[in-house]
This record gives sequence, C-alpha cells and structure tokens, in this order.
Amino acid sequence: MALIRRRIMTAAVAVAITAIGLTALGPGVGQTSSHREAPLISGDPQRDNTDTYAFVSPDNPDTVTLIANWLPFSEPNGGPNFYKFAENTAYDINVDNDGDARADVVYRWWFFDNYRSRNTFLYNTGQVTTLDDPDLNFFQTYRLEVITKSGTNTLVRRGRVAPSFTGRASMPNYAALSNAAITMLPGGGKTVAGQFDDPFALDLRVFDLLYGADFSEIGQDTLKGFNVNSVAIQVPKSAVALRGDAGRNPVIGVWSTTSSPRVRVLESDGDQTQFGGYQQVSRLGMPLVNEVVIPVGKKDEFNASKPVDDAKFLKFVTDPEVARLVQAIYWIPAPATPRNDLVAVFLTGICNGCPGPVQVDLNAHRLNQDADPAKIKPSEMQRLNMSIAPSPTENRLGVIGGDLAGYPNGRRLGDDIVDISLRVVEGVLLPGHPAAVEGLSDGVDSNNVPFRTAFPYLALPNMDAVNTQ
Amino acid sequence: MRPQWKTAVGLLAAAGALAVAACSSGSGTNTAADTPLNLPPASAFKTGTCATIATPVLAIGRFTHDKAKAETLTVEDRKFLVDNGELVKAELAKADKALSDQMLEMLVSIGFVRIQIGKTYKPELLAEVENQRTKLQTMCTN
Repeated sequence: MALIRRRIMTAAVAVAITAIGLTALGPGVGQTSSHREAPLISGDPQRDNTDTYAFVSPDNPDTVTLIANWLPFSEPNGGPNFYKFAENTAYDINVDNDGDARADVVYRWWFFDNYRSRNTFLYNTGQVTTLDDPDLNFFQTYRLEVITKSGTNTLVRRGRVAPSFTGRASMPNYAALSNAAITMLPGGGKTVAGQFDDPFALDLRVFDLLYGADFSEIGQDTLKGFNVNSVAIQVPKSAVALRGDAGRNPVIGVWSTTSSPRVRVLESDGDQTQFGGYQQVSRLGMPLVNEVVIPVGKKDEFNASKPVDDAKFLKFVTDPEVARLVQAIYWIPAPATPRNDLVAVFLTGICNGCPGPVQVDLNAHRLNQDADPAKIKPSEMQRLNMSIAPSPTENRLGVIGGDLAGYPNGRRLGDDIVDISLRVVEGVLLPGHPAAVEGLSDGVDSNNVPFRTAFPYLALPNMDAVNTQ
Repeated sequence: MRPQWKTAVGLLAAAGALAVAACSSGSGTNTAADTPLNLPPASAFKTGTCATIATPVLAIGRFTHDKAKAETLTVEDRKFLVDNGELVKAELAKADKALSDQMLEMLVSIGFVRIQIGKTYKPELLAEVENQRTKLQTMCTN
C-alpha cells in the first residue's frame, strides 16, 4: 500500500412496494454533492438526494459503511411537520461489484407514516424520551430490503426512524433516541434512518462569486446548522463484494437513487392517489457531478438515468464547463482536452491501464479478479477499494493528499470535496500543472461539528436556528 | 513623438501608476517589501506592445512591492489587479509569441491570486506575480 501511496503522490505531484414497483426497480434491470441541483428535483426535497458516502468502517474494518442523504437545507426549527421521508418512494443505495454499470446489490428503504392522533397539530404532545413514547405523535417506520439477482430479502420489517429533533425541551436526550433507532441486521451489520447534521461542508456562494469574480469572502460553510435525512447501513464486505469474496474482488461501485410513483392524483378531499409504476427521479454517485458537470438542460435527464447509459454524458466530463469558466474569468488556462484524468476519476476508477496520467492500481473494477474485463463499462459512480485500510489520521484531501482511504477512493464524511474537485478539475493530476493549483480552495476545510467515532458516524442533528448562527 | 515628449509621457504614466497603486494600498499596516522599490521608467519599455503595457506592468510592480507582506488582499486589491490585468490582456493579440506567452504567464499568476483572495490567500501567490512581472519587464526593457 505504501508503494501505491507513493506512486499516487508522485503522479499527483507530477500530476444511484408493490410487485409492479419491484419489477420496475430490480437490479439487473437496474438504474455529489447535489443540493437542489436540478430543476425538477429541486421542487421535491423529500426525494432530493444530496450526498452519498462509501468507506471502510474505521472502527470495524471488516465492514463497509454506506450512507445517503435527502432533504437539503432542513432548518432545525421547521415545524410543526418537520422533516420526513416520502411514502411510496424507493430510497436505494446501489452497489455494482462487477463493473457492468448495473446494480448487483440494492439496499432499499420504504417509509410509512404513523400518527397516534390526527386531532392535534403537534409532532409531539409532550416530552419524548423513547422511540415508543406515546408523546411522539408522529413517527415513521421503514422496511429495508436487499435485492440481488437471486431475489428480494427483507432485512428489517418494521424499523423505527429516528424522529426529527424538535427541540431540547421536547427531546432532552436526542442522542439516546437516535442511537435507539440503530437496528441490527440478520447475518451481521446494522442500519439507521433519521435526521442528522448535513455532513457536507462548502461555501455555496461559489455560484455568485464565480460570476462576481470575487472570492474575497469565501470560507463560510453554507450548510452549517442545516440538517438532512439520512439512511446508513454497515454490512460485512462480503455482502457487497463480487461472489462474496472481498479478498479477490475488493472494488465496489456505489450510488444512491430515489424512485417515485409516475402518476400522482390530488383528490378533492385532500387525499392523493399514486400509480403508474416507479420512475427514478434522483441519482447521486460522485459528488458535484450533476451540480456542476452536467448542464442544466440535461440535469433532470441525468437524475432519471442509469450508469449503464452514461456514455451520453461523456463529453461533459472530458471537456468540463468549470475549467472553461475559470479560464474565462480568472485567465487560468483550462487543461487540454479530452480530460482523460477526469474520465479515470469519475468514470472508470484509477488503475494501471486505465485512462489518464495516474497509472496505479487504486479503485477500478478491473482490479476485481473475477470481473469480466469485456463487460466493464465506464460509468459515473463512487468506486471504493475495500482492501485499503482506514487511515488512522484522515487527510481531508484524500488521495491527492496522500491518503488512499479517502475520496475519490469512495468518500468519507470529512473529505473536502470542493477543494479536491477544484484542484482536480484544474489539473492537479496532470503533469506540469501550475503549482498554485495545489492551493485552490473554497476556504471551508471541515464540517461545523465533529463526526462521531461509531456507526453511523454522522453528527447528531443541529438544533439552533440557522439565522442565529 | 519627440524624445522629450516621450519622457514626459513616461513620467506621467509612472506618476499615474504610483497614484493608482497608492489608492490601492490604504491600510495603515506596513505590508511593503523590505527591499527598496526599483522600477524602470515607462520610457525604458520598447516601443510597440511593450510601451503600451508599461503603465499597468509598472503599476503591478508597485502593488506587489507594497503588498509583499500582506496576509490577505481586499476587494479593492482584486479590482486593481483585474483592471491592470485587463489592460495587459487587451494587448495580447498584438504581441509576438514570446512576449504574449510571458504576458499570459503574468496574467495566470494574477488569476491564481484573484481566485484565492481572502481566507485562502498566501503571500507566495503575489510573489509569483512579481516573478512573472519581472520577467515581462525584463523582456520589454532589454
């Protein structure tokens, strides 16, 4: 591993319910951060997938942890209905372990609303001390399924979602509620669903600052104080590895998706009817892809697309708009195209013989000994080499910072995606890049609150009003 | 143009550059370099593109000297760099390749300062601007 690290460093320095629904959503027929990234999904926050994470569990390295988030910009005091997952919606974390750009393992959460009383406007009618507390008026339950080519198995039949944190008076020990929602899985592993702090940290004013060409105030974490709804699952590596053998086949591709009923009819009594099968409406693998790589005319299509069809988006990776904008505004020349370095990072993974200047075996499906090279297709997803041990001291810059256990080898909660992406897009992996590229940053280096050291690692949800911070 | 007029225009240009640079550095903190400022007169720039870009190149030279030890740059500093950089950029198409390449090198170094003004700024970025500016100045005066 040290050799790989040295070679990477050398190169860096020199250079995704019903039987009908299930049929439509099964693996094999298969399917950035990205807060409000596309026109259609920005109007549907319950299904708007913001980020996906995949990493070897630091405190349990025989397992891998997969996390996906929804409901961007959840202000902590957004009552009285607060924040819930949508019903009749498939929340999926997809795993491709053979590189054919189709899901081989899908973890799918279905959520259900429960009211103890519909004769009050209150989320909770008193202090809530347990998940079963009768004062918790509204709560959600979920069913977790794992779908493989051999069929669908229910892992959790009626799990409890950790409620929205409605206040310290209402929930004096929220940590206990959240931790009680962690559910053990048959065959090993655990899962949780609920509200957490948004782990992404960045200055989103970049969209204004870019055109103002004034980065003088960068460094404010736009997402500080906001929450998201998350699903997290920790499973043995063998559960997701090709042929169950993480030793021979350590690389997995991961993306999350949300799928919604195609037709919704609003009834005159306030009820609604949904039918027509399911349509994928959100997709997230590598962070920032749909946000700043895919043009607005293709964003909704990307959210509905499957990795197996990613060839149609190739040109946006090989000739990225961001680099051209930086050149036009800041006079910093865009690296020469086609950007094979970006093809490797976003579409194939990095390996000896993969496209691009970094010729080391890091995280390409090609590294799986039982994968058929002829069936491997370039596609956008996070690629994680599970054989790389977690770093005792994480470097926020991940691989380009010499820490091979970080982004773009999967993605950890603390990886500084904006700094890494900005540097990579400006050519840090290319030989002869300007030294100043290695210092590019949005000025936000870490999350506003520390991550936890045990599953699900996410920080507990914020409670203080965002406009008081 | 008669020689004495060239000198006068050169002096006026240098004075203008001094005035612009002075306006851009209103802070009471001494952020100037320890070494004395040593810039040629604008009249020393070769005729043609070099003479045309003399004023902004010298203005940037005074700026890099005055801000050499600054720990951060301001919005006004950014505007100064943009305005003078644009004056150089406007002449790119008229310059021969060697000169335009060096003009671009200076502009790129300015770009890296502009994109990292504020919390991510490092004095080394401005030092690189001065390094590239000096090369351009040398090319124009030798």
